[in-house]
Amino acid sequence: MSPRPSDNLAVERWEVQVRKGVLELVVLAALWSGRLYGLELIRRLESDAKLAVAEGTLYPLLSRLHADGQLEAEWVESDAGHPRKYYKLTPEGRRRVVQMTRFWRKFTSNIDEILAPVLPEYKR
Amino acid sequence: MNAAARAEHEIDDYLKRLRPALSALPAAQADDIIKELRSHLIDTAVVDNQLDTQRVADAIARLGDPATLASAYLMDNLALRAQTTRSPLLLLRLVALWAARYSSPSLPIASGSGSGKWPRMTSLTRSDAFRHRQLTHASCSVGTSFRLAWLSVRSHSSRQLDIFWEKSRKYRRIRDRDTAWTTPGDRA
Repeated sequence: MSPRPSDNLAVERWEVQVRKGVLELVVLAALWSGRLYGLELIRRLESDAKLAVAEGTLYPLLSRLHADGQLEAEWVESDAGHPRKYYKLTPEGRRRVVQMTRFWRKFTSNIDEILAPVLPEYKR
Repeated sequence: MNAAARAEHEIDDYLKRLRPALSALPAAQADDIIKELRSHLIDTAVVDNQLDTQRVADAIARLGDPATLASAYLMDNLALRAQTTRSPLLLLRLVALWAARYSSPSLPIASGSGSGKWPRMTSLTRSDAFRHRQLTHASCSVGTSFRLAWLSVRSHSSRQLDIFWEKSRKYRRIRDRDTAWTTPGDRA
């Protein structure tokens, strides 16, 4: 059964929404082990989570998380000759990412149960 | 002008367009955003200690149109203010701006044209330009936000927005004329 073009489009739209939904979680999680600046964060998300995030999406999100007290930011002089803005989790941010991760684990394992018959070959 | 100087000029040009669109934010925050994006563009585009023109163009295209990028910062700022103050007016404005932004498919939300540049205002229709101005201007009134959202949702038609734009210009002209004719004695 091959999918129709409209199905593909609908699935693409849904994928975009899912990616958007998890972006805050993955950004906070990527900062778990230490501070990163914007470009490093984009590369980390690409390499570790296979998630391509547009800069125009990431920077406003970082700004919001900073204003919301989830992230701390500091300017650090670099060898490249210009300063870079590094972000790290605040204690509040750490608490939030733990809560979000707990929820995510539970949520995906519950969903996996119901998805199992759809594609049996992907069964864990 | 050599390639590196041209690339630097491109970065300056982009950030100069972005800065006024962020004017509704506190100046220190807006300056910080500009500084961070400059640092990002340089980091992305440097090859062998030299700025590469093509890489700069690509990085700018990924950041997107300055007005749209600014509106993302402004909406996040507005959302946070609305969340903390619980002001119904801020919430209404946020909903209206959100609706206007996402119901306007003609707005260049993502990157620009094939040349790797964002679309310039001159290439947009007048109603697009109007929506850009409104979306990036946090001081636009609640009424304007709602009218804008309603028009966008109802028709997606630039004709409607053109009419609205004309009417508001006419209204402003009349109001300015009336204000100019009113003397302190008249008000008393």
